[in-house]
Amino acid sequence: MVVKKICVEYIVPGMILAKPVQGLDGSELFPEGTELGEEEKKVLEDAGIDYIYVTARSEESEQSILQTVAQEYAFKFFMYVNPDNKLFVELFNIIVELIFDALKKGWELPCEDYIRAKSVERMRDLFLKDMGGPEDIVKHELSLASFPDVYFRLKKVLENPSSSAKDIAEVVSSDVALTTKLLKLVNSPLFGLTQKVDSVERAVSLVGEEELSNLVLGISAIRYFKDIPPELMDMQTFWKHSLSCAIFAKIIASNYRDVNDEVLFTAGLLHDVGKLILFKNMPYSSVETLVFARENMVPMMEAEEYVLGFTHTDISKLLMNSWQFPNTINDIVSNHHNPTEASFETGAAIVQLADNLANAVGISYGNTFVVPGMDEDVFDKLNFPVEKLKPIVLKHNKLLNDLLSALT
Amino acid sequence: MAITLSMRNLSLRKTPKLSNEEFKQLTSFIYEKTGISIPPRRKYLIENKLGKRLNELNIKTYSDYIKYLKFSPQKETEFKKLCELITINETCFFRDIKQLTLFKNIILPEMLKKRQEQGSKSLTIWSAGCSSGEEPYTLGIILHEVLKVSIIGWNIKIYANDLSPAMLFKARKGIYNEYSLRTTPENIKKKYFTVTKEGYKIHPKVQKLVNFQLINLADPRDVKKIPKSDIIFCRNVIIYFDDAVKKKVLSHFYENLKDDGYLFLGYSESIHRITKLFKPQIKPGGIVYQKNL
Repeated sequence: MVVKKICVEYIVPGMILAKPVQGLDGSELFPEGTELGEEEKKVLEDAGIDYIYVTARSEESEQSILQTVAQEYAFKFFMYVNPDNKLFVELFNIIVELIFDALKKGWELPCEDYIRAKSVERMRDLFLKDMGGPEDIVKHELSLASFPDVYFRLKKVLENPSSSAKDIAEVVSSDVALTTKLLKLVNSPLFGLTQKVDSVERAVSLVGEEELSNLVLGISAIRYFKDIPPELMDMQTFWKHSLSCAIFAKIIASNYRDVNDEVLFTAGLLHDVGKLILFKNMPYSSVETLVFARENMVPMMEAEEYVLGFTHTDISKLLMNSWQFPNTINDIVSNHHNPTEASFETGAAIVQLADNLANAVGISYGNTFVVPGMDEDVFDKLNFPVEKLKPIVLKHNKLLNDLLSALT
Repeated sequence: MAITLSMRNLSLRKTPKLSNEEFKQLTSFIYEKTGISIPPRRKYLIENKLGKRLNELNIKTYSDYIKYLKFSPQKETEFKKLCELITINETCFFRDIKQLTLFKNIILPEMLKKRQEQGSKSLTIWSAGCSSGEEPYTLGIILHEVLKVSIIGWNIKIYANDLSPAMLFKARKGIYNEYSLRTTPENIKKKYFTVTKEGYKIHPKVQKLVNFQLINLADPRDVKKIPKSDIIFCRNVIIYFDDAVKKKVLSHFYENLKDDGYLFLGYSESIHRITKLFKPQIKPGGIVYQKNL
C-alpha cells in the first residue's frame, strides 16, 4: 500500500494514518493506524497540523479514496461555473481523471495555505488605492523599458509592399535567440508541417508572412516581461498557463474558417500580460487580489475589480496600444473576459474558452485559480462540440512541456 | 487515461437548483440583514456554498430554505449559520505591517500622550469586523509593546466584533495555528504566545484587554453597544458592502469616533468617492482617516 503525504484539508473518510501525528507541543494527537473521519479531520485542522502521512486498508480502498480526493479537489475550482452547462460538466470529468492519474503517480496536492504564505509585507505599490489608475501604471512601465525592437523592424518590412520573404527572414535572423525559438515552434507537432523547417525564409514561405510576424510578436514579447517579483509569480508557471491557453486557442481556431490560427496563438500567449505589469508595479495589491480571489473562490478578474478598481485587461489594452500591436490581437486580449464587447467576437470567445481549458487543466498540475466560466450565449454561438474537448486536452498535454522549454 | 467505472459521467450538480428569482430573494435578504452585497455572477457559487446546509437540514428547495430563514422558529440560529457561510475569514496576526507600524510609531504614541495630558489615562479601540480575533489581539500586543509595564496605569479597552458566532468562539478561545502567525516576528511569538497541544495560545494579559461581541455593523442599534472610540480599525470589511451600506457604516463610525480619533481601513479600501465625513491623511505606511468636523 502506498503512503501519501497530504494536507489535512484533503482528508477523506477511510484514510489510515501511516505515521503518528504530534501536536505543536510534541504530545501525540493520534497514533499510527488511526482511521480518519470527519471528527479526526476537525481535530487536526484545529491543531494547525499541515501535513500527515496516510495510507489505505486495501488496494480497492486506495482507488476509491483517490477518486474521492480527485473529485473533491477538482470540484472546489468549478464552484463558480454553471453546474448544468455541458462544457463545464465535460471539463470537470476530464480534469478529475487527470488528477486521479497524477495522484496515482505520486503527485502531492498543493495546500490551501500555499499561495497566501508568501511574504510581501515589505513591498510597495506604485500608488495607493484610487490615487492612480491603469494609465499611470502603463506610463511608468513604458518609462522603464522599451519593447524588443525586432518587432518594430519587422513591422516596417511588412508595411513595405515591395519587401519579400527574404527581407523578413533577414530581420528575424539577426536575432539568434528569437530565430531558435521560432524554428522550434514551427517545427513542433502543433503546426503539423510535413518537412523540417531549418531557416526563417523557409518558415515564412510555409507559414505565411503575416502569420509568421504574429508568432515573432508573441515570442519576442515573452522576453520583455522580466523583473517580476518571484514571491508573487514564478515566471515558468505564468508562461505555462499562457502557452497552454495559446495551444488551446490555436487548436480550437483550426475548426473555424475566417480565424487566423497564429493570431489566436499569439493572443492566447499574451492574454494575461496585464497581470505581469500589475505584479511588477502593484505587488502588494496584487497579493491582496490573489488572496481575495482564493478566499472568495472567484476569478482574478472579479477580485481585481474589488481590490484595485480596474483589471489586467485595462492595463494590457493601453500597453498594446502604445506598442502599436495589431488591432486584432489587442481586441482579443482586451476582451477575452467579455467577448461580446470585442469587434472580433469569435476570436475573443476562442481565447476565453481556451483560458477556461488552460485553467482547468492547470488544476491537475497545481494551479490554484478557479475556472473563470464563460457566458453561455457566447459558448453557444461558437457552436463547439464538447466531444472534441477530450482529444484536444490530450493533444495539448502532449505538446505543452516541450513547447514550454523551447520558448522560455 | 485509465477510467474506472465509478468515475464516468460525474455530475457537477451537488445541490438543488437556485432559480434567478430565489437568488434575488436570498441576496436581498442577506443585503437587508448584513449589508453584504452579492453580485449576480456569483449565483452558482452561492448555490454551492449553501447547498451543503440545505442537505444538512434536509430542505429540498431554495424557496423552502428562504422561508425557513425568514419564518421558522429557528430563524435566528439559521441566520447566524448563514452568516458563517457567506462571510470570509482570511486574516492573520500583523496583517499589513506597514500600516501597523504607522499605528505603533506615530498614531498610538500621539494619542497616548494627548490622553495623558488631558488627565484621562484611558483608551478605547474598536476592531470592527474582527473575524477570529487576530486583529484585536495584534493591537493588544502592540499596546503592551509600546506601554510596557506602564500599561498597568492605563484603562485600555479593545472592543472587537464580528457577524459570525463561530469566528467569535475561536477568537475568545485565542488559540491559533502556525499559519495565522506567519507574519508575526519570532520575538513577539515567544513573548505573547504559549505552545499548547492545540496550537499557539495568546497570553492572558493580551486577552483580557479584548472584549468580543456579536455585532452587525449595518445595524445602528447594534453599533450603539460600542462605547466612543479613540481609534477604529475596520480592515477588509467594507469591501463587501455596496456604496449605500458603506456610507451607512461609515456614518456609524463617524458617530462612534471621538473628535480627535483615527480610523484605519484596509489596504485596498478607499472612501473618498463614498463620503466626505472623513478626511484622509497620507502618512508613511498608509492612509489614516480623521473626522471632518
